[in-house]
Formats: sequence, C-alpha cells, structure tokens
Amino acid sequence: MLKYSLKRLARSLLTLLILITVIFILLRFMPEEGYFNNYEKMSPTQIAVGLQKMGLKDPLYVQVSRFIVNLFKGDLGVSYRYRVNSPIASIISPKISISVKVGLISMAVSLPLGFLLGIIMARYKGKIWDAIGNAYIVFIQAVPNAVYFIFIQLYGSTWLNISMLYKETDWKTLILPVVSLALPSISSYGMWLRRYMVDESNKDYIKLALAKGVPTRRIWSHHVFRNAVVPMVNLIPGSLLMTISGAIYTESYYSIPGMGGLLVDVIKRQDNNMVIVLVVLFASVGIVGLLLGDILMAIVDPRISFSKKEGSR
Amino acid sequence: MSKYSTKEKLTKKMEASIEQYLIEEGIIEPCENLLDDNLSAEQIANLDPEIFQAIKVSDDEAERTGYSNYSYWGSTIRMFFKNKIAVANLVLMLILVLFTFIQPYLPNQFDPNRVNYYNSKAVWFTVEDNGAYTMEGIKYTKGDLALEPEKGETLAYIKTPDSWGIPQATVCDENGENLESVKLTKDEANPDWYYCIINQEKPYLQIESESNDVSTFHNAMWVTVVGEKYAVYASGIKHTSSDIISDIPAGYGLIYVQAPESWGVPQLRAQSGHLAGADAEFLEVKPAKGDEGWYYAFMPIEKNALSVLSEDGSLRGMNRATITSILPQKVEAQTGFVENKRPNEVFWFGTNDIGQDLWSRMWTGTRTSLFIGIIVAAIEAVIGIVAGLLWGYLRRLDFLFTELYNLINNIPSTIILVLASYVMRPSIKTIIIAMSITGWIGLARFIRNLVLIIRDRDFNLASRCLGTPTRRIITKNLLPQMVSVIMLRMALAIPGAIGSEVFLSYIGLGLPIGIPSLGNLVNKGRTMMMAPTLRYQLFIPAIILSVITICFYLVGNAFSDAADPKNHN
Repeated sequence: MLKYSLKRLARSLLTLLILITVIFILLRFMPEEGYFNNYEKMSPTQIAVGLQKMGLKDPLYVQVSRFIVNLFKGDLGVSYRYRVNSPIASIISPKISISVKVGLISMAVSLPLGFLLGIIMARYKGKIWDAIGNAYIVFIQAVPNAVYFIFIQLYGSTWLNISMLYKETDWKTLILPVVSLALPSISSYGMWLRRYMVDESNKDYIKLALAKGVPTRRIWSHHVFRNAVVPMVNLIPGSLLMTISGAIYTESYYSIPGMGGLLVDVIKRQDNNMVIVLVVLFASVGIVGLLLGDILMAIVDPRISFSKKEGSR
Repeated sequence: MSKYSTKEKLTKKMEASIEQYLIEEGIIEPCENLLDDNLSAEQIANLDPEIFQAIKVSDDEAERTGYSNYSYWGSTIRMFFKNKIAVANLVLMLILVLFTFIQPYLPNQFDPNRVNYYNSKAVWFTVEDNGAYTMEGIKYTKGDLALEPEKGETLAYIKTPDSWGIPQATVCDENGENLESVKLTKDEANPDWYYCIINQEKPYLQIESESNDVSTFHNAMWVTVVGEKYAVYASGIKHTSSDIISDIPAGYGLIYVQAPESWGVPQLRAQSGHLAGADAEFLEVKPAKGDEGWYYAFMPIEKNALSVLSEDGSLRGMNRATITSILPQKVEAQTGFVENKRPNEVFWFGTNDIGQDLWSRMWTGTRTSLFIGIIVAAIEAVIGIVAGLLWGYLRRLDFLFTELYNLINNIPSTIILVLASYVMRPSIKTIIIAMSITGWIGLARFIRNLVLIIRDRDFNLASRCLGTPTRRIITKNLLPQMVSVIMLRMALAIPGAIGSEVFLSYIGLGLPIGIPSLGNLVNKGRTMMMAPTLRYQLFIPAIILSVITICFYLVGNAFSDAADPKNHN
C-alpha cells in the first residue's frame, strides 16, 4: 500500500513537472504585449529593457528551472497586466477561500441529492422515476451548461426576487450559484451510482441472497449500495479539490470574486504570467485529486490491490 | 418423438427426402419404416454407389451458407428502429442538419454578416382593426418599390385589415391644418398593400376606414412608463381597447397613461418646456373605463412636457414625455440600421443590435458548429482507432502511450482546451485542434483494452483454428465489438464540441464575430438578456442549441446500444 502510494506520488510529481515545462514553453511563444500594461506606448528599447529585467531574455531552460524553483519556494511571481506588479499569491489567496466556500456548499447539497437520485433510479429501474431521472440526466449531460445556467440566473432571480449578482452580505444571493453548481454534479453522481448499483444487483450473490430469503430492503442497503459506493469514493477527493479552481461559468455569471472568474479575466487581459500560474495550479489540483481518489479507494476497498495491476490504469 | 425437438424434426425431413429419392430411382419398394436400418445386404448392394459419394464443396458457398445468417449491421439497424424515441430524434436531427444546408438557397434570405439599413425612400404602415398601427422602414412588400419618390417626398405603403374596406388617407401640415385627402393606389405586385406619395410639406398622415368609423388618428396621446428605469414614452398610437373619451373640454388634449402596478394611481405634472418651470401643474387623473391599468387626464394645449410620478410621489419617470400639439403620424423615412427588431415577416428571427438578420446567422452558426463537431468527432475517431490498435498490438508502444494517457488524463480537459486556444489565434482551425488534443486518447484506450480482451477470446481462437481469414476475423469478430464504443464516442463528441465552442466563445477565445456560431450567438444573446423585449436573441439560439445537442446525445446512445452485439437476439 505504502509502496503503491509512493510510486503513484512520484509519478504524479513527474507529470506535474512535464506539464509545467510544456505550459511554460508554450506561453513563452505568446505575444510580448502580455507582459506590459501599456505596450502600445512603449519604445522598442523600453520593451527590450523591460523583458531583460523580467529575465525573459534568458535561455528557455534557465527560465523554466527558475520558475519551478520559485514555485517550490512558494513564490508565484507577479502579475503584469491584471493588477500591475502585485504578487500573484496575494491576488489568489482571498479568491481561493471564496471559491472553496461556494464549492463546498454546493457539494454538501449535491452529494446527498445525487446519491438519493442514484438509489431511487436503481431501486425503481424501468419505472417512472427512472425515466424522469434519465430525462434529467440526458438534459444536463447534453445541453451545454452555459445555456441552462443563463436561464437559472434569469428566471431564478425574478422568481425568488433576489439580486442577479453575488453580494457578500446577502446569503440569499448564493442560492442560485449553488443550484447551478449542484445540478450537473447531482446528475453525474446519480448516473454513476445508478450504473454501479444496477451492475451490482445483477450479480449472482445478490440472486442467491434473494433466493435465501434476505429481505429486499436489506439486500439493497447492505449489499448493493455498499458495494456500489466504493467506486464513487474515487470521485470525491477530486470534486473537493476542484472547488479550489472554482467554476468558470457560475463565478463569472454571478460576479463571484473567485478563481474561475479570475481565469476568464486574465485570459481576456492576456496577462501571460497569471495564465501560467493559474493553469499550473488548476492542473496540479486535478492531478492531486486523482491521486487522492485512487489512494482513498484502495483504503476503502480491501479487494483492490494496485501493486499487481500496476500500469493498467 | 418429442414434437418440440428440432433435431428430430430435421432428421425426419432429411430422411423423407432420401426415401423419396430411393423410391423414385426404383432402388427399393415403398414400405413402412424404410430407413430403419433394416436393408438387407442385397438391397444395399443394389444401391447406386453415387449416393454415397461426398458432395463437392465450394468454399465460397460454405462461406456464404456455412455460417449463420446473422448479419451484424442488419441486426444493429433493426435494434435501433425498435427505439421509437431515438428514431424520432434521428428524423428531427436529419431535418435540422439538412435544413442548415438548404437554408441559403431559400428565397428572400439575407447574408448573415450584412448590416441591414432602413429603407431611405419609403415607410410601411401596418394598421390593426382598432386603429393601432406601426410605421416601419423595413421593406415588407416584394419586388421593387412601386414608384421612385422624388426629393422631399416619401413613399408610404399602407396595409389595413379586411374589415376596413378600401382605406382613405388624409394629410395635414404641422399645425394640423390644410387637410387634404390623398389618393391611395393598390399595389399590383402586393395585393394587400396600398401606396401613396407623401410630400414633406404636409407629412402628417391619418388613415381611415372606408366608412370613416375607425381611424389611426385619435386626437389623444398614450403615455407609458416601462422598464426598470421607468422610461416614459408618449405616442399617438392607440394602446387602449375601449372607445376613446369624446367630451374633451376646449383648449385641452386627452392623455392616457399607464404605469407599473406598484406605482398605484400615477400622477401627472404638466409644464411648458423641459426645465422645471413655475407653471407646472398637476392634472386630474381618472381611471379609464374598460382598460385596467390605464388612466386618463386632460392636458392644457399650451403645455408640452409631462412628468409621471407614482401615487405617493416617491418614484418618478426617468424622462419627461414630450406632448406636442396632438397630430397624426408624421411620415418620414427612417434612418440607421434595423437594430434589435423583434421577429417579423421579413426578419424571421428578428435582427441583432447591429441590424444583422438572426435567421440566417442562426443557420449559418448551426452549420459552423455542426461542422466543428463533426470534424472533431472524425479526427477523434481516426486518431483514436489507429492509436488504439497500435497501442493494443505493439507491446513496445505500450509504455509510451500509457504515460501519455496518464499525462493527458491527469489534467482537466477544460484547462488543455483553454491553453491551446490561448496560444493559437482564434479561428475554426484553432478550435478544432484544441478540441481534438484531448478527445482521442480516451477512445484509443478503449480500443486498446478491447483489442487486448478480444484478441485471445475463445471464439477468436476457434475462428483461427478453423482457418478463417484475418480480414474476416477483423471485420466479423473484432469490429462489431468496437463499433458500439466508437459510435458512442463520435456521437457524444459532437454535442461536446458544440458545448466547448460555447465555452470558448464565452471566455473570449472563440470564433471572431464575423463567423457566426452557436456559441457566438448564445453569448451575444446573453448580453441582451436584461431587456425583456430583446430576450428573443437569447431564446432562439439557446433552444436550437439544446435541440441539436439532445438529439445527437440520444441518437448516439441509442445507436451504441443497438450496435452492441450483446444486445442482438
């Protein structure tokens, strides 16, 4: 177990390093104006001096290694256009807490509801509840969420008679962003749990239990659900960590000053340095989420042994 | 003999044909239990040796008949057509896709990027039963204008309801004097429309019905307070449905007013000039009979500006309404572009804020988005299948592909999408490349796993032992197992690509505005969402986008279910 975790960790670190290098090199090919606030008014000499100062004239490998070393020291560099010359870490840290808050609330809503949906659909497979749940899942999966988020914002705010935009003082303005975030999560939790439970309920040992006379209720709660929940555990750390990266649509629709909205802002203003940092941050969150998910799954389900299946995922 | 045993039935059938042969050839006499293995040695010796010879075997024949008559694609299609919802969706999808290609060739289509201007020579009046009307600079008639108006003249087209009979037109000058009736000519090319030339010296036009009982001019003004900012509009167009009050005191004009419900009874303050003047006076407001929410008041003719306040005076209209001496509609050609026109018979889905026709933009956009989706799906399928087969068959490549998969799979795909589009310049090519980077590896992994699983399955082993050619193993044994997954991935890649395109447009990395796409249209519509009258610009693309993505999703799912050989019976 420990050996597996260490191996997995080393691999994730390697992925992260490759990723940082690739992103860094790619973004260094971007136009130079992404490093200055008033590029149009500057003379070529000024630009050259500016680039020299920032160390952008150094060979690429020097830049990459400096970036990585600084990153491990906790220095994320400074923003050039979004907020001139202020350290990125100080821009990001208040935003992370807001994103995490909204994300956690929506997870707290969507986890139980999603599980409930999955259980009901699996339990009454082929009945009307299953059909309704399926229609909901198909709608959420097929229609781009940009579209239905707009309508939630538009009609939700008139219907509940609340402001369209987020206000820190008014908790009611959090309802719509949380609903928007929860809808797709509920559908995906519900869909996967239903699938795992239906698979589980078709297994032979369930038939045996049924033949033996175990009450249906007990079969569903003690065997089907318990076994079906194990693979679901894999998703949870990822979802938890992904709250850091925020939700791009929800946050920018409702003007929540979080991380997701920040990415859109920096891209629109072409602040190269911040794009690099944010992309690296989001990607590492994804990597760590998967890592934790795999480890947690191995802890929860003793039948899973990764050492044998090494390389199969 | 059991009557359910197929084997016995078949045996019986075969024996019957042999019996018949033996009897016809005269080898044996017909008798009971002919083939009960009780032929005597002589009888056997008399049998024609030819009937014991091996039949000539044709390989092609065996290939054709030796296997079962199971046809993979036949079963797949049959299974698919059993799913009624999927078939309905497929039909809808095909109609939509076909229509996007037919649309440019339909008559009366606009160029999606053309900015449409109001007609500079003519106006079009559409009159309703009760005398309400609209005057627009949009060319509702077909063909060229009936005649070219000269300088200082405007051509007016008039359409009245049938109940009006032949309409009559009267013009007057800016003081409401010198009334003169104008001859209306029926337009030959457009039977519903009449036209006349209006001279700018007498531009105020009123239209009456044949019997003179309804008119477009009512000697009254209708003032409305609308929107979140309480904009005040005044117009001579009839807004109420009941009869207009006729006993107006001399020296006064009739004003109808409507304000939001929360205002209570609105108060009207009339004054001359728009600066707050000393002569401001509150008018007496009474509810209008027959029209809920409407009130009327009499306004002294010498006053020309009107403020609207709520009952308690706490809310007031944003601007003052200008009430000039009450006159019929002034006919003058409209200028500027046809901005934000709601759907009408010329612009079927309305126009956007720079006067472009949304109908043609909509279908051009659908075409662009579908094109992106289909190309992305095709690239994913081709690269995915090739890479997957290599990955599955060549052991040496396994490490490389597995590491690549781990790398790509570890990073959220949105981030890769954003990064790729950020680095390249926005264009259709960029979007397609950015979307194809991540998709193929998932499919490749599926194919690789399937290859590993299926390659050494028993039925494949049996096929190989029986000497089935490799081509046949691939097409009949391997491919059917994969079609389901490939089709599912391809069908889901299309709505996925459309969604990603919307996302990229939203964060400002999408297609330039000159190339309409569903993402551009939805995001443009979103900026208009605060004004309720402009929401059609959001609704129409949103509905079409949802219909297309849901259709593709459902058809893809149904087809992949149907294509799975496990579901064939």
